Amino acid sequence: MTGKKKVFIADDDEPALISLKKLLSLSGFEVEGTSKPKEALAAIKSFKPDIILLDLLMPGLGGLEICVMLNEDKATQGIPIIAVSALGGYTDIKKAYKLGVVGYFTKPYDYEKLVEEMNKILARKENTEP
Amino acid sequence: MFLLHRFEIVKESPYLMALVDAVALGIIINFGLYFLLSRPFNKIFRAMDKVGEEDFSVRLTLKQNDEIGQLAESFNNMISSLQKAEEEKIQRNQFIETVTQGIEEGLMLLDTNLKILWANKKVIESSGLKRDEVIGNYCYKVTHRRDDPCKAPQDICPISEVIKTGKPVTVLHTHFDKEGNKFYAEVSAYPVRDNKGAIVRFIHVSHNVTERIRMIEELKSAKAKIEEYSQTLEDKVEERTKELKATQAKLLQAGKMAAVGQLASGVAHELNNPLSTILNNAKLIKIIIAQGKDFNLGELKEDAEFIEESVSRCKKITQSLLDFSHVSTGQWQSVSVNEVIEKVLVLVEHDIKFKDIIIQKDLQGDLPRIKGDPQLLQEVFFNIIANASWAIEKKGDEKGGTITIKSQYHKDANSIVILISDTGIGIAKDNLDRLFEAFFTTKDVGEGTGLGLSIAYNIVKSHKGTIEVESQEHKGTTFKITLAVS
Repeated sequence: MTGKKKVFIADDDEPALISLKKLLSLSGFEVEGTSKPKEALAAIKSFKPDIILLDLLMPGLGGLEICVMLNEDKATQGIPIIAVSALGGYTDIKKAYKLGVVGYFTKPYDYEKLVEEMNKILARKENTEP
Repeated sequence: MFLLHRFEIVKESPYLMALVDAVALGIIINFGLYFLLSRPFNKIFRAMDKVGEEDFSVRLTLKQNDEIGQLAESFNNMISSLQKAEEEKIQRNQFIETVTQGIEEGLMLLDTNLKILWANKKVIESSGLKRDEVIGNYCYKVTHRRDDPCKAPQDICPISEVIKTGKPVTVLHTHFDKEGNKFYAEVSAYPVRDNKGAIVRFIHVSHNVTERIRMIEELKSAKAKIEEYSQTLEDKVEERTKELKATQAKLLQAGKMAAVGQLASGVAHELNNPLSTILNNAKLIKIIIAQGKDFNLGELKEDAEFIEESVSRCKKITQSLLDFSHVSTGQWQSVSVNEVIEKVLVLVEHDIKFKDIIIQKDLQGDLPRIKGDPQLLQEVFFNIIANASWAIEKKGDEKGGTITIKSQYHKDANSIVILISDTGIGIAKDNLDRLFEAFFTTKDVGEGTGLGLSIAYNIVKSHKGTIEVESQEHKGTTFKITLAVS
């Protein structure tokens, strides 16, 4: 691994966003995030993260819609997305995986497992990239 | 000749002549008396004989101006009066006869030994006996076909009662007709007194009341049947009411649970987000402490505050959910309408937020409290707001929509008016009349039960309030709920 990995978090729940940002910073990530889903796409394009943590249930623009937009945009295509959602139903998870997320965590999640999964995904990505 | 002869005899004897004169005078007087007295009197005696034979047509024709003539005239006047009186008597008797024989009642005159002295046609006909078999017979033999007088308790003898009380008596008897058929007779007995006031006769009036008794019996039977049916009906209604109430309570609870189900995703999100924050902040504190160096106390404090805040959020949502799903006790209490609305908003706001719906609240601060069931009232507002949210979503406007909730106190009517408006698809005119009908819904299967607004309507009604709706298709709907301040 070279340098700090960049993580972008989109979560409309401000306290959840702040605490996760702090934790990931302490875990050695460079973290950016927004609680305003409509600003997410532009912020991601500008930040160019290695991985995205996306809340699925957000007012105005849901995580799944952002997922579609990220997949369609050349600048963001291929950035691994982990869905972090308060919804943990089979249908919700299935829908998210169909849209290309590579991981799914139901709130409240085990932080260590999240970081472990993020690292795995990032390592896999590094190995597959030229 | 006689005078000549007299002259000759007188010539011979003056004494003899005097005797002859006397005889001659006697004869003349005798003749005179016969014409003047005996003949008219004979006529009078004959006329009197005829009157004695009840021939009142006889009249004396004596053309005399003397006392006998006057006597004859008086006699004629007297006979005329008698004739008139007799005619009147006949007419009166005919009238009495017409009445007594023509009536449907059996009339008898009885002596103190219960023997029939007189009976009308009805009694004779009904008995099937001949008149002379009735007259002189005992009343109980003729009417009851029994050998002894009537006795209580089967048939009270009205005559004995009249003797006892001295007053007219009416009783119900069982009589028998000529064919031996039993029939019911209403028997009245009246005393007939002599000059000294002693009862010497009885008037016995009997009337066939079989038809009346039969009708009374039928009425009694019908009444009993109606009472029995009415009782059965009451029991059935009571039973059905109990069943309906139980079903209604179940339905109410089922409707509520369905609403809770609708809320599930929103509630899960609402709970899982703060839980996640709690967990992350706890982790954060642990990491910071574990690192043991350069930790910022202010930051730790902020993390702890996030935990507190998140716990409060969780508590608020679980409490609202508990309040909402709680089975109503039916107990009325002092209720703040605004508090009820706020509790409902805690439950729905997350769900609504995801539909890009803005909630605009305009709740009057100094609203008086009302008497009611807060659990039930929560359901009213929940159902209307949930409907408003659905209507906005259904409209499919990208910009979402607005739900406006206003509460106002109307001093003149001493009532609280709650207006809940949405900018949704609106309600078609044809559906407005059926809006509060149970199970009426325009929603697709799985979207709604058709119970929400019906339940809301019934709850408002049970609070002696009113609920009105105004709607314009594709523009929106406003529900107006009016609740009295008691």
